[in-house]
Amino acid sequence: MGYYSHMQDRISRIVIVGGGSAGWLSAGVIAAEHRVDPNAGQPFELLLIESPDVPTIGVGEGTWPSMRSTLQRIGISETDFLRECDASFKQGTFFRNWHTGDGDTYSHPFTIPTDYANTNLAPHWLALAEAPPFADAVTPQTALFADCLAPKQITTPEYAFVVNYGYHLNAGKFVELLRRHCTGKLGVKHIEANVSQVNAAANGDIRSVTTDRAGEISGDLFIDCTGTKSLLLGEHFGIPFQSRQAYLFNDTALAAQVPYTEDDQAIRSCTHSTAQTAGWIWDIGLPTRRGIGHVYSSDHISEDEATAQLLAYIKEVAGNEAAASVAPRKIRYQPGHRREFWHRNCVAIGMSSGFIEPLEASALVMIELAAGMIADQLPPTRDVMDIVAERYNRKFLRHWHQIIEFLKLHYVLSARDDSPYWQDNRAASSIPERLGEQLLLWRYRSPWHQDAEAVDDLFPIPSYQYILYGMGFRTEPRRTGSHRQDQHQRHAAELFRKNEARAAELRQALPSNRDLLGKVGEFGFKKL
Amino acid sequence: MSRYEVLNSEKHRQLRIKTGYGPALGDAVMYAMTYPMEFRDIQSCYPILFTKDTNTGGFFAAALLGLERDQNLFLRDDGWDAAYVPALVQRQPFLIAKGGKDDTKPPVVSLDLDHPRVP
Repeated sequence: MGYYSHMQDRISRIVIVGGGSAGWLSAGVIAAEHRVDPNAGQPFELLLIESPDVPTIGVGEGTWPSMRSTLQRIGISETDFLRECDASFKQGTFFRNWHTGDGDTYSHPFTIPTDYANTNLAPHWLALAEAPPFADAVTPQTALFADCLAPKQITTPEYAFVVNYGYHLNAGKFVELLRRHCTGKLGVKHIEANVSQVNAAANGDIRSVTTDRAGEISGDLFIDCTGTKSLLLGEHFGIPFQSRQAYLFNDTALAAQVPYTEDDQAIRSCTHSTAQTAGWIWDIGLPTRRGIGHVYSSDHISEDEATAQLLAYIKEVAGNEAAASVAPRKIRYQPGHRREFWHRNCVAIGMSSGFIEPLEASALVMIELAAGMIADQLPPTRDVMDIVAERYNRKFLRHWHQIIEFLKLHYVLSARDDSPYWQDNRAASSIPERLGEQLLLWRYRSPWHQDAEAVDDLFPIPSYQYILYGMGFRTEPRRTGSHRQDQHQRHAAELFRKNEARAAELRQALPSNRDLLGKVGEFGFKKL
Repeated sequence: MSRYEVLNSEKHRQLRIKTGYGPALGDAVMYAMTYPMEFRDIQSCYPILFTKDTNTGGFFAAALLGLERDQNLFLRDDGWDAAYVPALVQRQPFLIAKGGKDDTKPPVVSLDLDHPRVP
């Protein structure tokens, strides 16, 4: 092939089918990296076709810290984001009733253990005679959870932090902000229409999509953000869906919005996750309301019972009146993912590629990673696209496997025996093979650097430590001592001490979430 | 605490203000706020520090006088040891006052009757 045929193959028009968080986040990340320039010799265009008739699901009210760099990359100011998306700061997850079910608690904070790069504190913590909870011993962050404190001060610049954080947000408002930013500042072309037909090219690619009110729209790369329908990848290309319900049983969610009982009620610093008899309840604090929902296995509990558990929870945390007035919205989903995600000139992002319960808020971060990889490795021509697609598929299959294994860890470690759900969750047949092997290994040594599979693992090893030791897992002390054991022990003791002092210092210095959000509303963060 | 009053030629005609500088006159402070129009004088004697207001997060400029709270290294037994004294120190106990944020009336000269310079 000569030079000119390459020119013919240029990827100059990307068509995103579907709005929602997946569509607009992808549009933002790609358009921020590749300037949409109508005056270029061969103009680069980014189109987003959004159905005016289909409401977005609006799941994913919790983000990872990665969202800070994603927003920065898209070019949205943190002040605007917080003000317009009804967003608050999230510093991790607080789990209740997951281990024994009798009021036990533990935390999974966003900050990795102190000096993690050089020191594995887990064995030292395991050796302590009277140990505080693992997370409390190794990071100052969990000390901020109890008082609902913010991760930074008003003097901290935009997107910078005192302790690591992500967000809780109103997904509907988030989509509106992204849409405004993408169309107003980044040159994304917004087409409101319904796709009625997908048209194949002679070589098997997608040539165009036919719409009901904007005619036929052609493109070089199509991004399928059509939700569980998976119109392009699933329906058109017939890429099969692989259920993962054998590992993760939950398939239904009941989502509710609950008002605060008082105007100045504290806004929590972390997602609360409370285990039930056949699932768990999330509780997310936004500045103006709480998002509370029950995600459960419909094989193990009826909808009526699940609703009753949700209402009992709302009654407990927000009173009778709140429980009486909520109207939970039911969302059914099949846990799992497509066998591949990028096929020919079509890549699926968001629920069209797969969905797993929101236990560790992995939905939005997967969209960020997908959009980021497409933006970074955007194939300039069609003939290199298959190479990028192959790498993309390998990477995201690994991400899905890891999400499944990491979420399953939460269930496998539970000692709850009060329902078949928890017993079934510990059945050997329901445990992914690699996870079973890791759990065996970790009985004799705690996970550390050597357990990471790749540099871009979705869940870093410290997350495994937080779940394992938060849920009572014991790693046996090594029988062979080290020549530098005394030195290591002294260093670890020093780190535990420092961590405690730092926690006390931060509790003095940091404002409450509500105070800081009030100041952001009034003054905003500075860029510097 | 502070007790502000608008300066009034009748009411305050007998009032006398202590001049000079010293810790007893409220000058033991580690910084004085300053503004660009004063920078030329300030920079000849003091480092200018740009720092953030802990309440609003907004930047302001300060002439640095000491390195810890309540420390003013320019105060001597016999007064202020520098060729130029920051305007915001010189003006004590007077200030220019405005009503609330939405007040459209012109600013007025006021004073703090609880300031140590007011006997």
